[in-house]
Amino acid sequence: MIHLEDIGVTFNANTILENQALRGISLTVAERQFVTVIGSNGAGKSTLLGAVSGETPISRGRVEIDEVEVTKWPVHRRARYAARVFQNPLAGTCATLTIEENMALAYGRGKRRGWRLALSAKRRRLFQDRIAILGLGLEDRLGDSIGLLSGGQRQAVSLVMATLSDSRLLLLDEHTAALDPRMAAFILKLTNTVVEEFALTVMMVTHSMKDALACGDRTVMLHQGKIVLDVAGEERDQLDVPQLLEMFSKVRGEELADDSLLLG
Amino acid sequence: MKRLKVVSVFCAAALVIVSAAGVLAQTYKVAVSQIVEHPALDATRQGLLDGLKAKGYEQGKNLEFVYQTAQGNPAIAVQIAKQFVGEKPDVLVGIATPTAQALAASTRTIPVIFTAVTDPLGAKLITDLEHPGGNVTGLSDLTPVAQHVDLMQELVPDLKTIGVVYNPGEANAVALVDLLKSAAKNKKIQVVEGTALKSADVQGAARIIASEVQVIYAPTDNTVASAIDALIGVANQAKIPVFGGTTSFVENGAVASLGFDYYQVGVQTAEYVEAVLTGQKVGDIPVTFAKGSDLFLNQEAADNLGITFSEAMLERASSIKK
Amino acid sequence: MSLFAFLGTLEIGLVYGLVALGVYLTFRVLDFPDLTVDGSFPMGGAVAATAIVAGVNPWLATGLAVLVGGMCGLVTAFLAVRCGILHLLASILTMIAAFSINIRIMGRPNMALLGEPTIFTAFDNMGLDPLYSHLGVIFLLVLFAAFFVTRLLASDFGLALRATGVNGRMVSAQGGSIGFYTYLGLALSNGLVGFSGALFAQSNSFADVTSGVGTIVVGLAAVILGQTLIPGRRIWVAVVAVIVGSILYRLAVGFALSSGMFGMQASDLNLVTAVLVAIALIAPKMKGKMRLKAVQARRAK
Repeated sequence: MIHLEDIGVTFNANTILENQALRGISLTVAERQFVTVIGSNGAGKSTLLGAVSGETPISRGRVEIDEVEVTKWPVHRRARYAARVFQNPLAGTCATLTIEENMALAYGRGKRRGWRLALSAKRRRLFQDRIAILGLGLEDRLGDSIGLLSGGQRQAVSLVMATLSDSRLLLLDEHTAALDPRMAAFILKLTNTVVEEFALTVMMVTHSMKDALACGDRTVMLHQGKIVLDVAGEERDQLDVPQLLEMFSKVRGEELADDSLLLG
Repeated sequence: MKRLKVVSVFCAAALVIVSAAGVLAQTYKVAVSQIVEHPALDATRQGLLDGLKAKGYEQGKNLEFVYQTAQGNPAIAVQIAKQFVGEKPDVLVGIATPTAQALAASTRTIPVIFTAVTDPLGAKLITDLEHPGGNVTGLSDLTPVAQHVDLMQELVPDLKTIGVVYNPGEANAVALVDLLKSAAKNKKIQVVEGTALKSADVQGAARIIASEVQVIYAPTDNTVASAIDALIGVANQAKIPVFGGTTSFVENGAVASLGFDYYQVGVQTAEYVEAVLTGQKVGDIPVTFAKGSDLFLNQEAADNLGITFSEAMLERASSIKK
Repeated sequence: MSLFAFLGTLEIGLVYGLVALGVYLTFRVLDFPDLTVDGSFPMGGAVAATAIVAGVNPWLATGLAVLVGGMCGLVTAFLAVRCGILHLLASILTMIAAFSINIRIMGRPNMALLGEPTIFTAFDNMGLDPLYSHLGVIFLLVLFAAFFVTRLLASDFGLALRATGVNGRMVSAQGGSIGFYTYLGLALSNGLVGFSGALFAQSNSFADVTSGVGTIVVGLAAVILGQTLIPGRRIWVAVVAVIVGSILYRLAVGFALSSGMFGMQASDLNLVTAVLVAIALIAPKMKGKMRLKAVQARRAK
């Protein structure tokens, strides 16, 4: 479903602020696979997701989605393949529009947006049915401005919006990080339900080792723009958070050792 | 047909009665719409007021003189026109092209007198100078540009280049510059154009052309008129004379000018207003060009620039500023 | 104010209502401060007048004016989207370029339409009183434009257009090209303004390059005035509000012009505009404060 080949991203190239965010990442995500991506701050997690969605311009490499090369495609063109939920609940929805208008916008993803009324009775029924799954009572508040909802509610609506058009790829960028623990747990549970129901392929960036192992079926750890761990299947099932943390600090330790060697 | 005749006779009779009533009441309402406030147009208005007074129409006695300016904005000129037409004055006076057009477009019945309009045919205010026909007539202030070129040649004997600063956005100015160019072409004189879209640009435009020309011609352009002092200041620095398109520029420091001053244009406009008030049919009053061939000279400016006026010129001059 | 002046004021208010609609689309919907209107308004007039004098059917000429106005918007969008010039600056560039182009189009700065056929001629020939018939025709055209804009903003396209001004990132994530909506939004806005310019030229019998000066201020004043007096989140309310705002603005100008009223004269107009817009901007805040005070007073009891 996703095929990344030797992706390199360099910010502020040829300046004193030059920063190689990704250094040659190759990754293939199969159809219906649910990959969680972890790593410390600045490891390149969100940059990697940006390289897939098109939001981050890449300096080298090749991006394929659904066997189509999209390397040079802008964000909006790739959007027909991938739905996204952002870390900031404000980013994924349009505050001045109503809930149903936001949903109509998402409904149009990958379709031509023409003269047709955005809110027909038929669409309204669809939106009502879908949002009822949340159990938040939002189905009776479709006409409310989405700006009135809490961050968690907005993320929940964003997830529903991701299912409204027929893309099969879902990109989640720390979508629970800005929420309180209870709401975060709810959104995560909802994520799993949605992924199951709509048979989605997922890339989920998270800062939580626990979530990274609890969700999905494959985990990738990034460090300094490189993949340092890629586990799936039985090997992953046997991993627990302390082990993962240990591996994490080992990677960092090796780096320190390298440095000390250099210094020595 | 017969009925129509009866009706028209009746109407005519009614008109006579109404106008007779006007004479009896002895108050006339003249509404003046002016596109923008600047010295030349203000002088026109003052001339009109004074001209009317000389003919026995005095403000506060038998004359109601209403005046509005559109601040240079044609949309406001339109609103002023609607306002005035709604007030049903005896005569509407439009000073400058857009105001006159706005008035003419707003009424087919109330007499409209235009003044300070350079090209009334081009502005479609009228279709025939001799017999305007409708409810519009007036006075054109077409400048005697060809004579101006002659005079400039008299002032600067080996004249090869004339500079002109104007606003290409003003209908009047463009017409004048076209006239200037064709008059100069006949005498194999080159015209160098400096354009200024607003009065703040006049000084810069003058600076650019000052080094290339022997004399600067200041046309009766509203933009240039607003910044005439700046224009003359630049010319003085460059030691070249300014020839005024209107005599009022001589007072500001132009070396010479030939023509009418706008006060006189206003006084002549008063004749049109009087003609209408005394019952003449607007459509029968021909459009005329503003009269006056006053030569104005500025001895002080000439001395500063080292120019000497010929005896013949001094003889002809109707005013010499010392 | 006489009936004639009142109807005339309504007429100009409606004509400029199209400008207000255009300004609403850029400033409010697209969040793109666009000064192109100072150029596209006289260009609409210039194109319509030139085409009519050249013998083109007035309705066709009006259509041309809409297209050319829209093109002005496309130029600004090109400068802003493609060349990355700050939007305000991009629109100023188009605006000043339009001045020169308008003179080129007409071949002179002022073109008269007195005696030429206009979209109103057919109604005049029917023997209708132009005072009412012109107003009626303009009312219907503005109504049509208002309906068109309302319906458009309720469509799939319009929804994305509305979101573009608020959350561009979200629009691209939902597959909408921000550039595309900026192009079309500006074209639409300036098309309406060009339409307004064409109507102005035909109802007042002249097109003049200087008629664009301050169009943006008038448009903004109408939008702010209208939306303050008639608040509401619904699209049709906003559309009606800005048109009403335009009419109210012209009425205020008309009152300022009514000889002797409040001792005002035409040269006070700019001050009147500034005061109107300032009041409209301050009023909602004052309302909020007063409500707060009332609540506090109630609590204190």
